[in-house]
Amino acid sequence: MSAGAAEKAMNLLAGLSWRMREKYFTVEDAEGAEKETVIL
Amino acid sequence: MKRDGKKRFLPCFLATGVGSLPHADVQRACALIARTMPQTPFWPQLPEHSFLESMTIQVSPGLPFLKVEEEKGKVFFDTTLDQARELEKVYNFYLTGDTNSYPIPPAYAGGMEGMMRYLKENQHLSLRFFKGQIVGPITFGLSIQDNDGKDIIHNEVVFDAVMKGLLLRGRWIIQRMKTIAEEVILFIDEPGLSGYGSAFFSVDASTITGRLNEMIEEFQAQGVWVGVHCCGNTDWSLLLRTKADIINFDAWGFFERFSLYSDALKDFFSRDGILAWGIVPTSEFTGKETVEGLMEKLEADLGDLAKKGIPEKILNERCLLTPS
Repeated sequence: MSAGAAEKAMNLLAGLSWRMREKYFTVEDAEGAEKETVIL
Repeated sequence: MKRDGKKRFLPCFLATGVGSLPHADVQRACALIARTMPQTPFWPQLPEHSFLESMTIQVSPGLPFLKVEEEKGKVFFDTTLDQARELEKVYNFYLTGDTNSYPIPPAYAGGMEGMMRYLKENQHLSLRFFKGQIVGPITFGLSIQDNDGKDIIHNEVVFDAVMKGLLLRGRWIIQRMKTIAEEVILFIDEPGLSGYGSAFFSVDASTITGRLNEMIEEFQAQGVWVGVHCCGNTDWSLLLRTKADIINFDAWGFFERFSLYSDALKDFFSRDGILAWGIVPTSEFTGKETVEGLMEKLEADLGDLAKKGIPEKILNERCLLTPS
């Protein structure tokens, strides 16, 4: 894998992470969980 | 995992990286990580920057019995060395809880030191998580031989001393990482385990579990989250039943086979385990992949595990995302 391909793959990973968090977790989830977890 | 005195870790689809990047330019690699994984950055091994950053070489300097013959390009464990002296040295360091006896020399740690420098200079908020890695005992023990050509893992006395050296190296890595982050995640990289189960694989299950747990418990005692990474297919029940907090598997290439271990996975989740999904292809990367396509696959795979009786909430909350 070239450096350029790795950069594209990591951008995809970042985008996937953002989309999944946005879809499945709300701000309230994070605030509620913060009390006992290290959710971000 | 929820260990005594420790909070639970619910990554909820956060992304982090696996060991190496193909970059020769340290600054470019570090900027990429900081930009794409701001909450859970990792320090990279950069073997294109220096071959000394290859995962087995990186941890090797100063290990007991190690002999480097540069002119022949040969690295091996010399079992003819004074055994008492070699053993005494490493066991003394180990038993006294020394964390500074086995540093990674700067020439072997371009990616690690570069990332720490980059984060110190550019991270304006305090860093909650920082992920690193160390080669696992099985992969290491099968990668370097003794002077008779035998894999060092099969020489019990010497390998136990080598193992203590690796544990000391891990202690140093953890202490170093803790200087810039509140929580450290350390993956034990075991690509060598992808050969487990083949007729040519020479290490038995109890040795694998025993050595892995020895390393996992050592690092957990330093107060970090410990993962095990294997980038191929393996006997996942073996890894899921270790004491690891996190299991990192190649979801892109081997989800169907991994999903066969749903009972072991349920046990793993019952211990608050975290699953790190290697969902973005690396060696099979074509450049045509899209976020939508990856999301579709991930959701289908999560749904498959939910159908096997693992609650969706657990699957989502205990999910880290990584390259495969």
